[in-house]
Amino acid sequence: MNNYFQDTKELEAIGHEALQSASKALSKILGYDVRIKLASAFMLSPINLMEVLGKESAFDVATAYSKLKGMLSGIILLAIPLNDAAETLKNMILRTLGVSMLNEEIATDLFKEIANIFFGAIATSLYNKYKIIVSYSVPKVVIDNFMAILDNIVTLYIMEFDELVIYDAEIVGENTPRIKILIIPEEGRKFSRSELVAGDFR
Amino acid sequence: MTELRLIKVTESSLIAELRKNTITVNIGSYIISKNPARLATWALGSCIAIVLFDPLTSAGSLAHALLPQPRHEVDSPGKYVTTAVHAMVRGLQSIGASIRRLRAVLVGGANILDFAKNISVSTRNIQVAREVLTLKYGIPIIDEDVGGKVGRNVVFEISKGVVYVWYTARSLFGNKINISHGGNKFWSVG
Repeated sequence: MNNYFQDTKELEAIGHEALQSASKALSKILGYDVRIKLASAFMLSPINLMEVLGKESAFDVATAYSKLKGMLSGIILLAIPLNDAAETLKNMILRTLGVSMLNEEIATDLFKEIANIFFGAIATSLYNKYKIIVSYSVPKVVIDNFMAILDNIVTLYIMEFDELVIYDAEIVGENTPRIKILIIPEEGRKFSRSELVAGDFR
Repeated sequence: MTELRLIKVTESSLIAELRKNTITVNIGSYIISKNPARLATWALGSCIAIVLFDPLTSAGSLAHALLPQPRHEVDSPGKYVTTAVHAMVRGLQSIGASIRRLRAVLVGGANILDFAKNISVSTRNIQVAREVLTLKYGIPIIDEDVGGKVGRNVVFEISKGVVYVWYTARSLFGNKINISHGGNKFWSVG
């Protein structure tokens, strides 16, 4: 499995900074301390996406995704195992709002807002570290089997891009739900270490 | 003779039963087999599952194709609709099936992620599969469950000539989603 991965120190640096920033933003909004730590960052070609992620991710996920625009275009996607997502959202809402009942519509909106915070944090980190300017569309939510979503992504991009970036993270203290953040560059752009350093995504 | 048909499944107990003793067709591949194999392919997104069946010999094939057609050289025939159908037809003929008796079912081609480019790929998969099967090979498409916005699982029970399909979409709290009209409308069933 490690054969697919490359040296991803810069990606890890972005991930660490983005997740710290997302933790702070979430803590502020929710009113209690939320810590999200990076477990790993790696790069993967689309043809290997299902083989590698599929083995560990054959489960239903709550997924929020946005279209990236600017110096880096493509898709950014946040996926949380469905059981963890529902539980975490319930806990967050109950602790924040002090209500006993959770409406699915409110939970979905909260999930979109959380994704918004994550995507914003990553966009900010990309700018802070490499002066890469990106914007993203309002997050949409889809809940399905992760493999089916990956199938969609592979079909979309197998002919057009070389590698995508995957951040594996966890929320500390919330039964440590795993989070996957995928950044999928469009149109054959190579999200490589050297280009990150150079900041050349145009 | 056993005629090919498609059945949409919602009962959890039947789904659990259908998952047993299956031979998995991986993404970008196809399998040809004779009765009594139970072929399956999981989590179809915009990919398309093509089922071919000869009711007289009970020879069948299932493919999980990613893209409509190759742009350059063909690395794997199962990866593309055009080359998969060709390979399936030839393979079925080699085990006694007749192209005149072959019947087809199509499943998949969903647009789970709501992007225009995605619609184009999934729609092309469906269109090309229809064209290749009916126009190039003259194989009737008996039934199909295509399009929409949800993932699908497929089990092809060759002994019965039945293609079972169920949806993988969920609500945020884990409830199953019921689908009508090829996956374009859905509601929670708890």
